[in-house]
Amino acid sequence: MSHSTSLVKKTSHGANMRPMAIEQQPLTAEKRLLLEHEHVPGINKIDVYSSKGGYEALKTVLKNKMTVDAIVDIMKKSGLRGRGGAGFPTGSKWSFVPKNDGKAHYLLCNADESEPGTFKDRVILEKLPHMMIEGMIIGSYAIAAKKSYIYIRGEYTYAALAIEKAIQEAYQAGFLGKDILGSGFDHDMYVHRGAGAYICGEETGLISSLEGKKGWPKLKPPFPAVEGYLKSPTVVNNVETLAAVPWIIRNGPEAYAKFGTEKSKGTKMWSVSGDVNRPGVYELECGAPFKALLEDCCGGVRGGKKLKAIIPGGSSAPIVTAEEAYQMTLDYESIASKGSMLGSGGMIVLDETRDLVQVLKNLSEFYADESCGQCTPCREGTGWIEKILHSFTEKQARREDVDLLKNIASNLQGRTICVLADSIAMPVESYLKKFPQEFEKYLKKSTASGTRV
Amino acid sequence: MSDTNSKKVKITLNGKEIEAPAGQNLLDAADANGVEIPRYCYHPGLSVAGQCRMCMVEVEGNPKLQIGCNIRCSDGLKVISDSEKVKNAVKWSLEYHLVNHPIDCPICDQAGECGLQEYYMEHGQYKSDMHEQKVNKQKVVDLGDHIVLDKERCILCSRCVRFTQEISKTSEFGIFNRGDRSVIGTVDDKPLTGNYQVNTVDICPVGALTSKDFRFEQRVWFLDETESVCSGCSKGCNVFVHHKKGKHIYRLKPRFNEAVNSYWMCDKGRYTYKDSNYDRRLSNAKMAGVDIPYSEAIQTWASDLRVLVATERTDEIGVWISPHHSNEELNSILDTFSGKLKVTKFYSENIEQIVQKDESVDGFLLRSDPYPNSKGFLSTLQGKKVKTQSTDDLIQTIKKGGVSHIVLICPEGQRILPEMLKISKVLSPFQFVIVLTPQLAAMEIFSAALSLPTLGHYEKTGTFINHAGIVQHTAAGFKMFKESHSVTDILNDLMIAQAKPAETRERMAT
Repeated sequence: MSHSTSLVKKTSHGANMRPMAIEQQPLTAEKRLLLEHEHVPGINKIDVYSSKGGYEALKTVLKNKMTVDAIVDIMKKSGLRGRGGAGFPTGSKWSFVPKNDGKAHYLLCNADESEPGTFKDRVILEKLPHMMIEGMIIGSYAIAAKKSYIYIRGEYTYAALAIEKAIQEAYQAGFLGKDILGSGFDHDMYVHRGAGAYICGEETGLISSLEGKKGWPKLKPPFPAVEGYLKSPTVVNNVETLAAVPWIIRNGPEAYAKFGTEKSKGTKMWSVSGDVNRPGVYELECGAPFKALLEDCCGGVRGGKKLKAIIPGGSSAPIVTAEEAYQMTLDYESIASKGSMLGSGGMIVLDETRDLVQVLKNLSEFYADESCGQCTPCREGTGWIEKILHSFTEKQARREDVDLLKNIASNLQGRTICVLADSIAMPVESYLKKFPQEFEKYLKKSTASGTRV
Repeated sequence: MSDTNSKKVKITLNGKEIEAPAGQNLLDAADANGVEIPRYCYHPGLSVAGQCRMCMVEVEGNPKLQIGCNIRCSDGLKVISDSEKVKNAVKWSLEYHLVNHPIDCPICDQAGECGLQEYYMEHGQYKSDMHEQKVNKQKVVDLGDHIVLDKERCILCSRCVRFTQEISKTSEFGIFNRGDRSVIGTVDDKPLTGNYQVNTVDICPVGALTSKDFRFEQRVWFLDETESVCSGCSKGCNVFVHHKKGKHIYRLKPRFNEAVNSYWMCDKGRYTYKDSNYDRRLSNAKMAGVDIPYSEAIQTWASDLRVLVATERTDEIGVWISPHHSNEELNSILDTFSGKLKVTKFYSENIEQIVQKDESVDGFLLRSDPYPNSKGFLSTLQGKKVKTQSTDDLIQTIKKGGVSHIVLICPEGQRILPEMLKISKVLSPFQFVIVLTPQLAAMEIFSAALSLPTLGHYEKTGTFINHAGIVQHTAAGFKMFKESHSVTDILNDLMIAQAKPAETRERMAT
């Protein structure tokens, strides 16, 4: 495979594409499986995509009349885990869908990518839409879904247009519609644009929203695989997960599983933002050292400053200190061992000048604003946290607020329908634990006494 | 809405093995076994929302706390609801409910029956950690004829939202905005419509939805509770009558009966208490508009009857009745007049026709038959082989001079008054008219007559047969006026007085 070594010319931007760091040539630290042809001009068009092996996987599946079990088996063997944040094994997820139950099944592609710091899916959506579409058709075939929906965040205008266009091309080429490639398999694909709510990126919130309701997450059980969209068996997969499917089919699960570590197979796309010289999207083999991403790919911390901390997997991931980060490798286990999570792969790099209380306050504002308001602890707790953190930055914090924050955070976790509450509770706990001196600084400046109102 | 079947399963709750129907909601199973798991959003008549997070329990095999309302009973289920872990979770869930609650109990009409107050005694922190400015929301939102909404007191349990979606099917309530700015409301605060609005007040666990009819009328801890059956139509919804020492009825609340009204009742029925309340009631026996003692009224009536009996002119007696009465009252009316006095002239509305045409008005509870005991009326009459003629027949008979002694057993309710007015217009001084009624307005129509106060509907003990043939029992809990008596008692006293005048006088004097 020449994906990581091939030197290509820097491509000019498409008419409606904005510049992204990813358009730079692949770096030696990268291992490009999904993004292998990302730089090829016109790869968003079906003929160019096909010339690079596109839709071969779909043809293999449909012409060989592969069984559902066989596909699920391939996915299981590949070790592919959901790339949206939870990291649930994709093969298992597909296998939960009941067979021959006489109900309509649905595959939903979660392209809501709303986690702060995460923008990796956008690259696939805008530049490699056919790869995701191919993955979706295969996934739909595997769960016997005749319809699939791409739920794309409202802000992704270009991406939505790119996807719409690609779907049209796929229909014209006979990869979508009736009797695809003479296999007897019918499939229709639709794009649904969100309206700007973070919670609609949550699996069941997305389903509620797609059903035309308020984007409220649903109680589990029942799980979507049994009762999801329109009360039918439904699989919700992330863009990156689905985009990995054609490669795995084409090259075999063993080839994919060769990359990565024992529990984290293949490659992962990282969207890096914050205090680095070259923010952008990079694809690295799971288990690559953090340093490779920070220094080789991103060109190190901006302005030659020292690293203070990183948020590894989207804003809801607990913070990791610089020391821990340098010991860390980019896989599920290693990041978990540092008390955080790989999550969506949206990495935020913070240099030594960053004020983490301000960072946390900023995050708490986001979560308080985005809490859907369904469960009481999250609805009231996120706003409460925001107000207390605000009192820190306003020099109104009381010493007991530290313990109060810890108490609120620990009593939010695991107490709600979805994990939005955990998404602010975990950062609060980790910032307080790992950077107590940052809060102490504000307590010393505080002039508060008693009740603040 | 628990889909239960008859199969019993064994579950372990707090270390004690209990039996529950397979598939029953854990909270219902716990209730049935005397274990109260706190809840706000769960209501057995509505779908499960799982929002309030008050019913947290430990389930064996699951490291995370689970909400009890989303657990169905199955064999071998092991649940703990009283561990320290659970208690702490409940305490915090309640704390989150109170973070932005205004805690305006002294001016809140729900005080005394508020879920927040109740659970605070048991699960409260007793020390608030909330030192921030609370979120302020709209107060006193007028939602039409029946309901006032306080968005600030609302804990967003969504019971009212689910009620309008699932039960009244009007889908009027919704939750707007998100996070701690979320509010319950209707689009543009439009007034609510339909005949089932006040049920949302019943199921509101806090003081967010209050009834215009009841708010600020009475503190609930002063109220007494009696069980009865609604008098508004042939459905016979089971109700609680809330009154103060029997002197003043303040409201009706639906009482659960799966076979009749489930947890609900209609607004029309809810306000039937107004006709039975003290201000519309006849409190004393009256003769030509002047108060007379009950015993004197009975003696006056009895002496006229004695003359008729002695002169064998009891066929000059006409009796007007209605299915507003209990089976027992109807029985005693027929026993007295048809049995003992051999009266043949009975009059009423065409009840047979009303029953034949009886149907649900709105596809839910309210029915077209306005009487609570039409079926009982027909079967009692059939049993006694009595047939009634129409009110018009009575009017014709009066005009012809066919009756000289007219007994009108007139119940409460505005509906009956036009009928009474028609009768009153053809009366002359030659007829002796006795009105047995709880209603002041009915007495006023027959101002020259002898009026005896009877019990209001919600004071009665007796049985009523609803449209589906279900026999329902009401139990008297109070008596509004000392001088008012049940129709049965009045007729008993009358027959004794008619037979032995002196003895009766003595009995009634004591």
